[in-house]
Amino acid sequence: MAPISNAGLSPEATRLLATMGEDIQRGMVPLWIMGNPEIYQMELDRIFARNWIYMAHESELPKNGDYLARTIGEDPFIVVRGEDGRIRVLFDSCRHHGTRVCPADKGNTATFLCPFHGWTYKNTGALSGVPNRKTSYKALDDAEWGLIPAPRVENYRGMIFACLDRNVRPLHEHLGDYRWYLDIHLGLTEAGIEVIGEPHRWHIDADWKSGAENFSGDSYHTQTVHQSILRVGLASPLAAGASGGRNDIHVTECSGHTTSIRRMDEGRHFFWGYPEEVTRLYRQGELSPAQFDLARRSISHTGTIFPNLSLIHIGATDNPAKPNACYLSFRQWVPRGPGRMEVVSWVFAPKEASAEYKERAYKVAVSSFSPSGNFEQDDSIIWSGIARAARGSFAKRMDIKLNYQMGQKGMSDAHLIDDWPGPGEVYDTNLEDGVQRTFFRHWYRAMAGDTAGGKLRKTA
Amino acid sequence: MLDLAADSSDRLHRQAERFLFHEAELLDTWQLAAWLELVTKDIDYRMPVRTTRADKQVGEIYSSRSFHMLEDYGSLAARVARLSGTAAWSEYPASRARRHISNVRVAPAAGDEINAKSYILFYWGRDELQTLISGERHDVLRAVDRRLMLAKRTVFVDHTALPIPNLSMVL
Repeated sequence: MAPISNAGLSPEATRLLATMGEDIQRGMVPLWIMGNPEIYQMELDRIFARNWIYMAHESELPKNGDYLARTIGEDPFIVVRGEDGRIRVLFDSCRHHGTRVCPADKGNTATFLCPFHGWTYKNTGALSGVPNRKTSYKALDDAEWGLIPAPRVENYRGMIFACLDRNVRPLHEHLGDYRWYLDIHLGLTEAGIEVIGEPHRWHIDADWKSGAENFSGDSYHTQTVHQSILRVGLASPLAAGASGGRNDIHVTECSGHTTSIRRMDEGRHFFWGYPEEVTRLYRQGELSPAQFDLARRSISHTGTIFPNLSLIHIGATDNPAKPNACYLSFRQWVPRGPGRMEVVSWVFAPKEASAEYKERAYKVAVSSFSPSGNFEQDDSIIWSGIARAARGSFAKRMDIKLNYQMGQKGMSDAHLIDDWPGPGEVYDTNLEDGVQRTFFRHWYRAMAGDTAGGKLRKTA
Repeated sequence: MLDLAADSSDRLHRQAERFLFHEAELLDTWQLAAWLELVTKDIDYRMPVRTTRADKQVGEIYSSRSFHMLEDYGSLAARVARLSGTAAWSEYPASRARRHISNVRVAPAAGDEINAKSYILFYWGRDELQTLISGERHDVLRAVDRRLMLAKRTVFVDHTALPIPNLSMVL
């Protein structure tokens, strides 16, 4: 991977790159990075252009010709299943004079027609039509002027990722050890998972990192931010109550990714609270006995796959008089300018689940995690407050540090679980900030130019 | 011959408009329990997700499977209960809300029901954040005990990505 030049950075950014590694070891994160224009531009170049970014799930593109408009950082791309059945990620910019050629958020097409001068591309990206070619473009080599593909596109069990850096390590290495946890969500049924309908999309005046770090495993916020959920009875205290339960764990430093898991007691059969009509579809399949046992005991999982894809797998209800339904949501925190993001959130269900179950699970997902979600609406307004405090002069001038010290020596009784059967550095409590320190440590590494995937030492 | 005074559709229109304006006042002033009393127990409330489609696929602009809100009486009552109590941070302090209702069109429907279409322009403000959501509502209003109640509403928003951090109450 090409080295990054730090020439031209402001004194504050230069100081950040020199000192943030040590700050994180001490459990501190500078406030001013949560919405600063210079940091934002560096993130586009150093994080979004150099890491694997989630694009779509296969189930969103079932037929040849199906396409979706998606972004990597701020760059517009078309995710399209070509006439040959292959899924490509193509830069949405005409090779002639540059305007966008994708007309919609999604659809099905054989060709993309540029509305400017009429250049036309097949759904494979190949240039197929140039008006007045015989008189005006006699020597044009079509092979050189197709839509430009993202340099790398790979698919992990139906999840399509792309990377703008040709020399990035393979996707399975980027996901790395985290596949052990991810597979639990993807691999419980024979046919896997599918997206229900369209994603929710909405804009928040908050830094994209606020979503990523929150879902990395901020278990501590639940008891304050989401206390109204328990008051009304929209989720059980098991899933949404105070953190610190005896079976709650935090998976940190798992190839840069994290997850926070709430579990039932050993031997209990719970599977997030899915009804029997779903759990009877479950089989161990390719999962190990330890993975399947973790699934069986699971109450909830949240997690973040670096940099900006998060997941939540949980049971909740839209009405305290009705039973919980469970669902999996993947959500992406898409940068939309300094201190601004677009959330794109998909609801998933096992493919084999009944139409009735999917409908019920979807309704519960809307009522809990969506722009109108009873959980989510309280998160977003709080994240806005971080960006608001960060963007002025004082946070930068004073180099104000935020406290991420929970779980560090002398703060609490967080212990590594020695005999944990899975990967990562796993703590025996969710009252600790190691998950968020993992996110910021890898953010810092990417910003400082190290994306080799080795481990930055965790704690002092 | 046009006879405004005797025109029954004009009376329907005025009744529907009076209902919609009163409803907006209750919502804008956070009288949520009073608002819930205007809603029938079999209410079907939905706000489908809109996606931009190329012209030939225009029928799919509003999803039949995906919704920003998808509510029945019980889920609306739960939202009202949550927002009416403590620690509902999205509305603490309450956001500044105003529902501008216009372009009301009314047609009689079966039984005791009226179909009412209206435009909504929703102003939302919180601290220095502010935004507008624009859309059209297709309502079914039902006469129950000599007053109108909301029996069905579909809100067709003009946005594909909602320009608001949270949608805490109905439009």
